[in-house]
Amino acid sequence: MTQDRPMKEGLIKKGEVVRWLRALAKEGKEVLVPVETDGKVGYEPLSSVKDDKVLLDFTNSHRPPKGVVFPQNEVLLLYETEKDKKDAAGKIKKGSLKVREVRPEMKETVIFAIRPCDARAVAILDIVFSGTNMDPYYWARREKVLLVGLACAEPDLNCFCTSVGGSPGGKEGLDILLTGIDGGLYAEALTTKGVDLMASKAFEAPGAGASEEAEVTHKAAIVAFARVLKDGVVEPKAVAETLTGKYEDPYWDETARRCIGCGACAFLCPTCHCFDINDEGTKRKGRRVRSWDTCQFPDFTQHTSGHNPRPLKKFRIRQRVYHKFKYMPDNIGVLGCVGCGRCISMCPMNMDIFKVLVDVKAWEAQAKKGAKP
Amino acid sequence: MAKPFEPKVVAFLCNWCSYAGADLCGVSRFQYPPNVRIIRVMCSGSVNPLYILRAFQQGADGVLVSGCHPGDCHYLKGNLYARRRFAVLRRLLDYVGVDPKRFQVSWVSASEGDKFAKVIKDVVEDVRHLGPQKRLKRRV
Amino acid sequence: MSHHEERNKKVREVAKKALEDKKVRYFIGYTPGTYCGRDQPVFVDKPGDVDRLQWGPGSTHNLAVYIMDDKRRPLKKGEQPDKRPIGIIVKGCDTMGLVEYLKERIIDRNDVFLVGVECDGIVDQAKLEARLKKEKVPIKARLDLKLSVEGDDLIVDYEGGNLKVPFKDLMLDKCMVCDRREPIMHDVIITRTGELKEGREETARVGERRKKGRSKSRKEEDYADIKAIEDMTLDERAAYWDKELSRCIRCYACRSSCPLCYCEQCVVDPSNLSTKPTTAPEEKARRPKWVERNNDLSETLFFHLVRALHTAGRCIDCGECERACPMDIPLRKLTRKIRKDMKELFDQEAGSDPNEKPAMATAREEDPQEFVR
Repeated sequence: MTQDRPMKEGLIKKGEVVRWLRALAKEGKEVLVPVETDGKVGYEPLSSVKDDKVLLDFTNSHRPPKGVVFPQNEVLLLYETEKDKKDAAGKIKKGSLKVREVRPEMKETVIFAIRPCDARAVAILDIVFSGTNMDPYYWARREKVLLVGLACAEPDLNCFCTSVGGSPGGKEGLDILLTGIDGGLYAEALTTKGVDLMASKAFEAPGAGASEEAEVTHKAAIVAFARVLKDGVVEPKAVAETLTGKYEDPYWDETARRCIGCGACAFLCPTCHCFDINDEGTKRKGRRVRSWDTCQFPDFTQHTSGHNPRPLKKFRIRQRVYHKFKYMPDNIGVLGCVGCGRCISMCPMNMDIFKVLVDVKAWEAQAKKGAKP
Repeated sequence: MAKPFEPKVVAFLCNWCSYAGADLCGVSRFQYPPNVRIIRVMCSGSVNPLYILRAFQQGADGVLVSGCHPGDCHYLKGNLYARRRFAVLRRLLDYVGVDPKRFQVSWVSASEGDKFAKVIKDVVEDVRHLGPQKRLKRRV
Repeated sequence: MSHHEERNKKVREVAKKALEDKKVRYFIGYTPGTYCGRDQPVFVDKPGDVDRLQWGPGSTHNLAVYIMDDKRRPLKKGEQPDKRPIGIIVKGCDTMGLVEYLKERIIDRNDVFLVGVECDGIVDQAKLEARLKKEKVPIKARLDLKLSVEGDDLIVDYEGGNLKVPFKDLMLDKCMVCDRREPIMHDVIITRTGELKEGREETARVGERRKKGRSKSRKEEDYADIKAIEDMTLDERAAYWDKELSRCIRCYACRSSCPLCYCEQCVVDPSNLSTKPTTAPEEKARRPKWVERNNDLSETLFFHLVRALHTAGRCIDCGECERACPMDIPLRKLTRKIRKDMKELFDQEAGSDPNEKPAMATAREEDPQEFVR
C-alpha cells in the first residue's frame, strides 16, 4: 500500500544516522545494517559493526535480506516418542508420540537501508503467505520486522525495477523511505511503526522543497538504467498477455539449452518462495524442517509414481518465467519479480530474464504488426 | 559430578582378516577398551568414505578401518584400493580441520589377536586425548 | 584482419562446414553474452546461424558440461538415435574434461568433434567489472563491451571509448598459472594467429611437455595457496573452512557446472532423485539420505567433503565450480588440495591420458602407507 503523502517527514544528517540506529538498538531492537565483507555487501547486526563500516553508498546487497522473514531453514515442529515405561504392576506402557509445534521467536528487527526492490519483494511475500496460505511461521517473523528503505541513487548494471512496476524511490513494503538530498537524508514515514521509529532527536524538520529534491534523486536514478536505456521499458501487463499464446514455442527449448539447472537464481531471488518440507531425525525423535527449494531442481515436480511433469530443462525455464510474469499476476495480482537483476548477475551461463522480457516484447510487437489490417 | 569423556570409536573390520583377528583376541582373553563399536564388512575395500563421514556425522569421535595386509586380501586387491582411498580421505580431513588421528587405518591379520588389542587401545587413547568430535557431528 | 577476427572467422568456417556436411548433429560454441563482454554458450543447429559464433577472452565456460545432458536426453517415440558427433569448442582446460570422459568410458571418442582453440587466458568478470567502475565507464556502455587481446594487453572496446589494460591484471587466477594453453586432443585446432590445423591426439603427460620446454610448470607455482592453508594449525584450518562453508546455500551450482559431476543421481544432492515410473517402491524407500536439505554447517561440510572426494583423480581444475558459486566459496582450494595429493601420493594427474585407468580404480603395491598402523 503506497502512501501518497507521508505520515511524517524529517531530515537526518548522514553523520547522525549511526547514532540513531545505535539508539534503536539500545531500546532492545535488532538492527541490521549493510556492510562490506570481502568485496560483497551484506546485512549484519549493528552490534558487530563499527560505526564507520555502515554503508550508505552501495548499489545493492549481494543477497536480499529475504532470509530475515523467510529463512532458508525453518523448524516447523519437533517430535519425540517417549520411552516405554513400566507401570506399578510391571506392565509395559508404550511411550506416546509427542509433537510440539515450534514458533519462531525474534526481537523487533530493523533492516536499515533495504532497497525499494527488496522491500517490494517483502510486500509480495506478504501477499503470498496470506489468504488461504496464511503462514504463521512467516508472520511470526514478519510482524517483528521494520523496513527502513534507502532510495537508490544509481542502479546496478542489471537492474530493471522500472520494467516491473517498481522504482528506485519506490515505497511499497517500507516503514520509512530515506532519500539522499543536499544536507542529508530526507525521511518519509509511511506507516505508524515508521512514525515511531522517527521519534528521535536525530531527525530535524525538512526544509521546504526537500520532498521535491528527493523526487529529483529518484528521477535521476530512473533514467540511468542501462538495460532500459538499451532495450526500452517492458510493460508487465503486456508480457503476461503475450505469454498466453507462447507456451509451446520452441523459444523455451532454445533458451533453456545453456541452463545447467543449478538453484543459484532462485536462491538469490528476493521474491522466490518455494520450499520443501522434510522430516529429519530417527523414527523416535526428530524435527520437521522447511527448506528453500526451487522449480529449477529436477525433482521439484517429481511424483512418487516416478512421473515428472517437468522432466526437461525447457519446462523448468518456461515455468520460472511463466510463474513470475503470468501465473502470479493472474492468481494473486502481483508480479513475481522486482527487477533486482541478481539472477542475471549470478547465473554462470548468462541466463538473462530481462532479455527474455525483451524478446516477449518483440513478440508482442510482431503480433500487433500482424494484427493490423 | 561430570562423567569423564569416553570416546565412541567405530571400527570397520574386514571379515577375513581383522574381524577374525578380533575374534582371536577375544578368545585369547586379551583386554581392549569397550569404547569400540565393531562393524563387520567383507573387505576394507568395500568401505565407502561415505560410511566414515557418516559415522562422524552420527557422533563417532573416532573411526578405524582395519583390513588384511597388502598381498593377503581375500579379494586380491581390495585393501590396496582402500589404502589409496583412505590416504586421500585422511589428508582431506586434516585439511578441513579434523584431526587425522580421529580416522585411522590398520592391517590386522586373522592371527594377530594381540595386535588387534594394541591397535584398539592406541586408537581409543588417541581419540580420548582429542576430546569429543563436534565438527562433523549432526546437530539436530 | 586481427588475429582475433581471424580466429572468429575460422571458428565459423569450421562449424559451417561441419554442419553443411552433416558431419555433426549440432555445434556448441560461444556467442556474445548480455553484459560486460562475457560470452554465453550457444547451440548452433543450422549452417546459416554460424555467424553467432565467436571465441575470445570472454569464453569462460567449460562446454563439456553439456555433453552428458545430451547423452541422457530420452529419445522421442520412434526417434532413431543419431550416431553423429556433437561439435564442440574446447580450450586447453576443457579438453582435459573430455580426456576424463574417455578414461571413464562414459563417451566414445566419436561422440564429439573437437575444435581446439589455443588460449591466451580468460577474463575474470569480477575483476573486469571492478576495473570498469574504477575507470568510470558509463553504465550503459558497460552492457555492450567487445573484448580482444593484443599481445600482452586486453582491449576493452565500448561505446565512446576503449581501455587498454595489461591482460594479467584482469585474468582469471587459474589462467595465470596455466600450462595447457594448447589443447592436447582435438580433431582440428585454431591457433592463436587464426590458422586452422589438423588435429592430433597428443596426450603426453604434463611432465613430458615440460621437458620439451613448452610452458611453465604448474607444480612449482600453483599450490602456494594450498600450502598456506596446510601450514595453518588444525584449529585455524577448521575456523577457515567453517567461515567459508557457512556461506553455502546449497544451490548445487558447483555440482551442476562441473563436467565431471555427471551422475544422474548424486549421493549428496537431495534435489535430484532420478526415479522412473519403473522404479520399484522398495528401491525408493531404501534410498539412503546422506545429507539433509537444510544448510547447517554439518550437512554442508559433509556435502563438500564428499564432492571433493569424488573428484579425486578426476578433477581437471577447469575452475567452473568456483566461478559458478554465487557465494564466492573458494572451492578450488578443496579440489586442488586433492589434485595436489594425487600427484604427491600417486604421481597421477587427471586429464592427461585417456588410456590410463582412473586413479581411484587402480592401486599399486608401492602406494604410500606410512599412515597405516
